[in-house]
Amino acid sequence: MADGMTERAAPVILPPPLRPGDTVRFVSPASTPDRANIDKRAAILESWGLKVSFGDHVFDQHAYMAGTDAQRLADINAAYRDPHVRAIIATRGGAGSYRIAPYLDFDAVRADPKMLTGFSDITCLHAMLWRECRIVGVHGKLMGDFADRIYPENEAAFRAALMTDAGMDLWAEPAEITASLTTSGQAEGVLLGGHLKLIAAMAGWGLPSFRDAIVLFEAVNMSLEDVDRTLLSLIKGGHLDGVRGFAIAQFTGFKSHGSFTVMDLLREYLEPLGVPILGGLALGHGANPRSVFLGTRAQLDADAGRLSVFREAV
Amino acid sequence: MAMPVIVPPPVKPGDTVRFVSPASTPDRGMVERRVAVLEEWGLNVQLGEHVFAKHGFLAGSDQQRLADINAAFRDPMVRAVLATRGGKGSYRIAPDLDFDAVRGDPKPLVGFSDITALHMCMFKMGRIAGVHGALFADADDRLSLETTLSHKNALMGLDPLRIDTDPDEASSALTTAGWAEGVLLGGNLTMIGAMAGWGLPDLRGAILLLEAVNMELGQVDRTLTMLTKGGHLDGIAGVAIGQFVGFKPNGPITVIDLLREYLEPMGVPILGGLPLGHGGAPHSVYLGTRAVLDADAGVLTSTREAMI
Repeated sequence: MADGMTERAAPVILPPPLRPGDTVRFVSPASTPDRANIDKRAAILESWGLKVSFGDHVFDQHAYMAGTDAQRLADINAAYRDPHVRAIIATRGGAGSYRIAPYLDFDAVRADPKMLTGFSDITCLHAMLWRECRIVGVHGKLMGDFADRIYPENEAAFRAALMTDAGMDLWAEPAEITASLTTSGQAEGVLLGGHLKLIAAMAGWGLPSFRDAIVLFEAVNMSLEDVDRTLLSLIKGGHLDGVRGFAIAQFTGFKSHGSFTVMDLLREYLEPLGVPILGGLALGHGANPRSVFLGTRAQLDADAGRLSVFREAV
Repeated sequence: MAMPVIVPPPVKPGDTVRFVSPASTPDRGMVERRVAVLEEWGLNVQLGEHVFAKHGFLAGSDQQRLADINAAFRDPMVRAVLATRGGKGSYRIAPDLDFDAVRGDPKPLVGFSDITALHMCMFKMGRIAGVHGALFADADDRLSLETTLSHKNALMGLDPLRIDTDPDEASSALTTAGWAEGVLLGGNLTMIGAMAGWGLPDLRGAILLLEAVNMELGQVDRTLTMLTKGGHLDGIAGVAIGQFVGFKPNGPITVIDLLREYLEPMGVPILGGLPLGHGGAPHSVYLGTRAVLDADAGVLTSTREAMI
């Protein structure tokens, strides 16, 4: 596949920010969300002046997915095709978006660009949308803590990503365990990536080229050997060739094996690639995560401990 | 195009074999009991230097585990190299095996589970056949007669290995119909997923062996999506499904449903229910040699014959 050429040739699609009065649509491309959880998020979006609509199958249940593949696909494609819908909000990740990722209506996406927001399993859709359409999306959501308290920083970051024309600056947080991975130096490139497990699941068929990109990794509840196999396979398969820098975010729910931790694995595989690494970013499944664009220009400064993501194409 | 496949000769009484630990650290008592079985067969049994070493979840550092297995490949006295166990970590050293040493002095590598990574690289990079199996016991470390006999035949025999489907295995529900012939390749599904795109041999024309243990359904789903969408299973001649152990259903969906969903559309014969893997009384088979899959009769026949 000559995707290297076509990817470079196509212009980046950067949908405009939402304005009060715009309609957004919740869809569930992966697993079924809790209804109260979504009602709460809908109320927040309405408090920002947005109108909230729901896909037909948002709360459906089919094993670990929110409806059959056909139902989940119909919901997200209907959202892309509906001219009233100005952004598509994934209710949650979970599992299953990789099953429908190649069947999104890419023509509809190109014809009427609107951002998809979500992360975790939704990484699959972001990867495929960038690969096929070069459209910018938002890695993030209104993410509560264990008691579903949504913190002001999380809410403000998601709102800014959706509704302002500003980019975002993220500062490494020393309390995040991945902060210890930070090396030094600066890098600039398009920000791509997301959940490590889903990046591996898309490798070889649904992953865009990461050449010249800054690659974001976050992960939750993977076993150490799964991380080991995933990083080995991404590197041996050439999928990280030409990456300009790594933005390492929250790694949540990992158990150490004796004194051996997931940080040791990340360091072992990423440091030899010889590009700047910035850890400690508050993105992912941890406390109070922020939101960033995927597919826009980003500057990673490992010395200053800052990731700047601009609302502009590379 | 390719080098001819090398099928190492069987081991004879009086030969020396060596246990190595390319993945995780085994229990010492377990290994000692396996050694006793092999000695009963008239074999001299050696242990690699780092067989019981411990380094995180690995039996020693990558250098130590690699040194042990390559020393076994290079030692002319050693006539078979047996993995003490799987676990995790053999994928880390798989591409660095001394394939030339084994081609120069062919001896089988024996193991399964995580060792699938080594088998795949041995065939892809060295064109060397091996043995999928182990003296794999139950939770109380009782070895079944079937496992013991089958393993002995795979190591020391010349006759084809006949594996009959077991209707009590969950994967027997996957059996379709028809007949296929090809090189038997594959093994543990997790490892096949981990090797795809760099360490997996070309599976066109092959009979694909799949077994798995303790995967989440989502992980099976993602792995099968990646393997099929990535074209890694294109052109396979048939599928031999071994034991799928430790799986929990999710609502109405079981791992068998997922396997059927991905494998049936490939339109090749599928034979499930094979006692190969982490379940009860698993057998041993050759990897990298000619096999015949008869879904109608419920039999997989694994020969010692090279196909290419």
